[in-house]
Amino acid sequence: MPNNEDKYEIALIGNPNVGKSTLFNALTGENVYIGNWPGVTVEKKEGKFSYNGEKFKVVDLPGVYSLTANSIDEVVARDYILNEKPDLVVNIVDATSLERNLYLTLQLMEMGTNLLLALNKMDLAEKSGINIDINKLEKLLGVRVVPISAAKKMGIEELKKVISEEVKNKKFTKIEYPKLEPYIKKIVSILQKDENLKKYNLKYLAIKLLERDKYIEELIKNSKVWSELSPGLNKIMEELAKKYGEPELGIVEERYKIIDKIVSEVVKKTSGKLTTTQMLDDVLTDEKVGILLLIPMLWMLFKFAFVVSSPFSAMIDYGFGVLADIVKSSIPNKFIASLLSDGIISGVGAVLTFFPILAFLFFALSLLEESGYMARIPFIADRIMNKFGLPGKAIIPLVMGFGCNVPAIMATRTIENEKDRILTIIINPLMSCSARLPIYAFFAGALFQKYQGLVVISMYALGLCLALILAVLFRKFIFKSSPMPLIVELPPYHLPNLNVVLMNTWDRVYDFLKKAGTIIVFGVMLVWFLSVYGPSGFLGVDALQNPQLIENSYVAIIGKTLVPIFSPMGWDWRACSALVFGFIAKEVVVGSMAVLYGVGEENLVSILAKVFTPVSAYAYMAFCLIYTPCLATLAVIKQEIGWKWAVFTLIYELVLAYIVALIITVVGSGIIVVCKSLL
Amino acid sequence: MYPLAFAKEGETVIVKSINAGFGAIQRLSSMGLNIGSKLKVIRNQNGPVIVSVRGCNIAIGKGLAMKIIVERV
Repeated sequence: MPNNEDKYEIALIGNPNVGKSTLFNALTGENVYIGNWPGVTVEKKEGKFSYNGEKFKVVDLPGVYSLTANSIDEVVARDYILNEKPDLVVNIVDATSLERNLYLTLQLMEMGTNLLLALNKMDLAEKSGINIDINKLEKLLGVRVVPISAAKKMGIEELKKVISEEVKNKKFTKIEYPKLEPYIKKIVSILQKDENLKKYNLKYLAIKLLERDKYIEELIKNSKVWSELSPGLNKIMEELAKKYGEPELGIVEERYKIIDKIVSEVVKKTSGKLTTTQMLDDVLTDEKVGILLLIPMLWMLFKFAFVVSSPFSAMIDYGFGVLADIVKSSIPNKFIASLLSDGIISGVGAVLTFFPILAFLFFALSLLEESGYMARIPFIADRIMNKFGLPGKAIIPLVMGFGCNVPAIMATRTIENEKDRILTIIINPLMSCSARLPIYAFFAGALFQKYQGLVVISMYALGLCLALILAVLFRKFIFKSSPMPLIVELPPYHLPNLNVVLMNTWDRVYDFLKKAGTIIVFGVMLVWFLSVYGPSGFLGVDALQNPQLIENSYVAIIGKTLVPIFSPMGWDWRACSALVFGFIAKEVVVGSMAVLYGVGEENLVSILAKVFTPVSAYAYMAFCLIYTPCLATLAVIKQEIGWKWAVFTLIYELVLAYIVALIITVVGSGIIVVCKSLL
Repeated sequence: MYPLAFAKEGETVIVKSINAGFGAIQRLSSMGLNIGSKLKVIRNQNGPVIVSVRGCNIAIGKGLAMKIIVERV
């Protein structure tokens, strides 16, 4: 939030895995504001600190390796620096891999920013025998360099001091690529004729043109100097192509030439012994052992997220139940009492029961991420997932889907490529979450007593198979591209920083409560409204417990309208109405059926055995598995990738559910006919 | 010269050309792998290839590793 009190604005930027979050935390403490970058789902974090009575606002930019136009993260970071022009850019650099990290540094220097280098992990560098001559590095780059260790909180005060000096000392970085300088000068001489471009650093624009940056090309194409520039630019590109193979590789090669020169003068390596990371990776990334270890790892993650958290969810659920009862009995006006207890309180309760699951899962995921193991998972799963058109990272959301689709869908955020991520999200609701189990259990108990286990497992298998088949189909017909090739850094393993883990967890949970929460509360209230109102008006709040009353509600009417559509499957209007309630949360189907059939849940089994045949029951189970993501899942899909895809998921699942239920009915009845004729 | 996907574990190679799309080339370069860089092959089994380049380990999908042409040092 912009605040006039903050005197200076500084930006924090660096590669992934350099300890940026840890530094952000160490600088700003608890004082954090989380939002989104305008127009995109990339998270924006801002914090504050004061030094010597002066206030500083810190903007945390996404972790990036480069500042091209290839990913949303990079575009966000670049746009911010170009347009918001922070007073100081603090580039956090990993001392243990200076060579790779300087690539981003050079690009920041090209932009002509007021730059400061925070050389992190100095303790680790020293341990592994890497010696960095800081004075020389400062001289070669023309930028202040502060050695720190964010994890050990070393050098943070010094960094604050240098930040407070450098924000006032406005000097702008410069960098020269000797071999490209003549071309750059030529381009700049033409660009400067356009007054509108003066607000940019022209040298930077020239370099970006040589790099064939789509974004900058668009910008210049709209300029009046484009017609004058383009013939000369084409000629330059041809020359570069001759020298470097591809013209855009020229700038890459020249950057690394400078980096190699700096590194050779500044870095001294003494020893190179076997590190813990090497030893762990020998085991963890082995083709066979790696998979064998991944399975228990995922299993532990699953148990921790869904089993350990369940008493907390149950407590919240119980608490809201009690609260609803108190409200109901203490407010004399029955309508308001029901609106409050059955609508609002149970809606808020529905949102909050997700809280423990999300908190536990994201705590565990962020622990894995901080430890470095997370980066190895796509490596191990890449080959299998690619067969279904999914990226390696899709394995975590898929497995977590068996617990709950909501956190599973939020866990797709680590997938960089937008198409890969959308695909992984839209197939996720097919993974049978734990809320669907009560439905299977009731029907299996009522109609398949001998084969209960088998019938229930077959539902899970059906969901998984459909998810994978649809992944292949969607990939082929909608996305029409292969998954982004895996390129992932395997950072060294290290002990996670608890503060960072807790903060990451809170970020995710808060995001859910804030954005998806409102949609869920609204949805619960809508269904409440539809069940206590009918064409005849208000039915009385007893409709929720009274089968005769609820028969006249809008929900029942929707159910009755649906009956002809489902006539091949032979479901009655009560079963159809229960599906409408199931939209809130799938476990509600069972309870609603009990109300609709006018029995308690304990007697539901005997009723189901009478109303359904094994075939119609199996079709109903499959339909419940597939049809529409539940309200919370839909809300979270909207939160992550927008309404368009949420609606798409809703529609394709309805159609798919119908087709599958129909096939089960036809094939099932066929088998029964054949069996009877054989007997 | 041969694709990186065929390199043996423990081998040190130099990148000669990358025949992939520009997006992939830029991503590889920004992570330290460009034409002329020296790679040590850490792992090359059935899955992705892990190389050590400029002090970092990067995993590269097999398909992409087929498009990176290298030469033994």
